[in-house]
Amino acid sequence: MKINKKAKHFAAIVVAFAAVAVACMEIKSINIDQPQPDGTMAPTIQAGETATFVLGCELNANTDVPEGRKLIVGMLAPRDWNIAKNCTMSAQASAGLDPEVIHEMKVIPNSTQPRNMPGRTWPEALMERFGLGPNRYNDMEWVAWEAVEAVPITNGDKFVYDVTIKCKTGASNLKTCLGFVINHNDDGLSQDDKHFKYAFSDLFTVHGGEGEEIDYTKVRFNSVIPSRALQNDLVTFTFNGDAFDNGLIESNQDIYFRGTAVTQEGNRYNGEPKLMPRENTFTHIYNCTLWPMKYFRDVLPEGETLIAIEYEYTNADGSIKLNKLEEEIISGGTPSDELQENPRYRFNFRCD
Amino acid sequence: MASLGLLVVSCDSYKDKEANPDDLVEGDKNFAGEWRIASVKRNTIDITESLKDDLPDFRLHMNADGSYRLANGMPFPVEEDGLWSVDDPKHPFVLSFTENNAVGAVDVEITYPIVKGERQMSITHFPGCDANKYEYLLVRVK
Repeated sequence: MKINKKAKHFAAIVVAFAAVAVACMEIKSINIDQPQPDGTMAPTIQAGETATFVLGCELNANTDVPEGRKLIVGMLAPRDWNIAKNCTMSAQASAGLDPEVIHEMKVIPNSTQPRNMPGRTWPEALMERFGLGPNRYNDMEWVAWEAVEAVPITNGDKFVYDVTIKCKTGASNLKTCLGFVINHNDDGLSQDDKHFKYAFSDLFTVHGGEGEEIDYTKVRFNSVIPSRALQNDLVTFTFNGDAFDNGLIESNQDIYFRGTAVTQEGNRYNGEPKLMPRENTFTHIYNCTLWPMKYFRDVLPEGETLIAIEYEYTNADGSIKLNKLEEEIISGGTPSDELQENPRYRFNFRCD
Repeated sequence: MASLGLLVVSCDSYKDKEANPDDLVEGDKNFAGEWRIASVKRNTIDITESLKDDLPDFRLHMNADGSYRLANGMPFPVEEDGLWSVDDPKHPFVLSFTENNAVGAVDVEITYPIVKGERQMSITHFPGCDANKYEYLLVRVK
């Protein structure tokens, strides 16, 4: 990988793109075009703002395709961003095609399957084929876009074009490596890597939003999937005891999830401690999946609205705890006053 | 002569077996019975194992008279008992639940594969955020 040092852009990655059956396509660069208050570009953005990513592509045709081909671009991002809804994509040529024409792209519906990975939706196929890259936290999703119109191709054509992706970021503070894939409709994710190429960006940061920053590329004590959920979802809480040395694992006892309902009315109600099964004997990963409506059914008074869960991981009698404050101390951070006051993790119910 | 006779017989017998599309009658799909959840996928990932304490609390009784009764230990498109129906008895794609005293029905997409001679029913629904898709595979309680 080479770093593309454009003067006013934060350069991410350059990926060589090999020949496809009908044409040779190449991603020249992936630029994260994010202006900062001081006028420089950096891979960081305020939560809820719109980030711009530009894939520089090149296509050299070595055959005629009169019926044309449709460009397909896949993107991997945190589910918190809801990219199918909050991103737009378009392609614009600088050579070979009319540079005035903006080629619109649309999300491929789940009823359309990749030609060479039948039985799967595009998001499923992209996840199966390309995975999460450098990310370790799997609450991410792939989504694929396709050009609305096919571009006819003549032998000897050379198209140079940019795919511009504009994404309204989510509300959560995070760091992640975004993934990008380029393919075309005639290929549909074949096994021949001459037909597609993919790349993951360097770390991209969302700041100034809700909650503690989640670094998707690092192992942490606590994770919640899905990151966007309501009271009627099934929510999985995972305690990864291998993230750092800690007293809870060293005590060699059963591990419990202790959740407290936080209501819109400003009250808190404790749920019953729930035993967390260990995933396997090789790691110290424990998780439990809750239906919050059921977990708090016996303690939540009629008429009160559940808006969040505060929680921590403990031993059976609650004398040893692992919460956000403990995590901050163990991982070498400086706990805020707010955290000293309320040391538990918090999960807010929300969809956007 | 004998071989010719055999040939004629075999031709006749082949002809007899030839299917006439007009004679084929596809039966109504039978959904009545007591159903339990055999597996759960959330956003295409199987989370059945982590729900093993909760799954036994769920039962869906679909009665032949069109009523249903729910023991909902799991999120489900409806919460109250009521009436069920399908959009097409022979080729259903949509299962509708109308809760008692409710005005409208709640529709869910279904598929109904037959596995090892047993009809199963797969329900896709979004009980929480629209971005979170759940696929329940239901099997009849024996």
